[in-house]
Amino acid sequence: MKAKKWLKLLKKNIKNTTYGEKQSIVWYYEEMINDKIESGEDEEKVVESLGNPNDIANKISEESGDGEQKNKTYKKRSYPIWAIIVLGFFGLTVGLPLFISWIAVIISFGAVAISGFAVAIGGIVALLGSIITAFFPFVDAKLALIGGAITMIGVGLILIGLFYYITKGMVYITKIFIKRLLKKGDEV
Amino acid sequence: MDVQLKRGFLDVCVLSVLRKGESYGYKIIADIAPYIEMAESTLYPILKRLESGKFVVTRREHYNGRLRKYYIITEKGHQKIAEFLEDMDEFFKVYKFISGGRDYEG
Repeated sequence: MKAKKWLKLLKKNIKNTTYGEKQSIVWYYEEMINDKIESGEDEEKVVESLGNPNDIANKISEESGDGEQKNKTYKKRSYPIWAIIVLGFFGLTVGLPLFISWIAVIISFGAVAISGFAVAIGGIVALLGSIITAFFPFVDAKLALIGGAITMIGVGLILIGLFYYITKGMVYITKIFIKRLLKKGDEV
Repeated sequence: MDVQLKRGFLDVCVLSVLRKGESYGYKIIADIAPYIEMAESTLYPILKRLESGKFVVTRREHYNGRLRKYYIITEKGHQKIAEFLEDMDEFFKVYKFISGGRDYEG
């Protein structure tokens, strides 16, 4: 086998390493082969004495993929700084306002829902009050109105409590979402 | 020889070659050959380990139209050799005990 072919096979079969590391290994063997040939050895014999390139590549791949944290870092791809800056710029000028608007929309929807709910409750209570006074004349209308108003206050307080927990929930979900985003950013 | 023991040996053997002056892959194997047989595939991980541990530094130089990588021992590398020799003194005491040498005093 010629040296070029041997080196090609070696390069092809090395796994679990970065490109730089792979290049380093190939250069090492290339230099070794050249030095041996220069010292008078026959190219084919040199390559034969080095051994099977697949075996060497497999051994290197095994040792690299030993699950060390250091090797895991090698697997991460690094993005150029300019790309990160551009992305960050877009994130701030486009993404952030969009995100804020989104939150505002959710809150407004929530508020509208609550007020609509409150209006409906108010309407129901007033209706009930009217029906009661209509069918049970011994019940004073004024008292019914007062009773109805107190009921509405009670329901309103309940809604405030409910809205508080809904908002808390939305904030919690948003926190988790942001945490996930940052985690993914760390992997970059 | 035990694998771990051999590993430590070989690292320091390579450092000892470099103690005499900077060298490169092929020459390191040639200089070590009288003492210990080392394959090219064995030397590579040793050099990688020594470099990442800062026991050696490297430089590249043009030679015959190609770039050759030279390895140079550092102060830390010298210390590693000294520590190894101290360990060997301890080891030799135990060796004498195990082998029942005349110098062993019960």
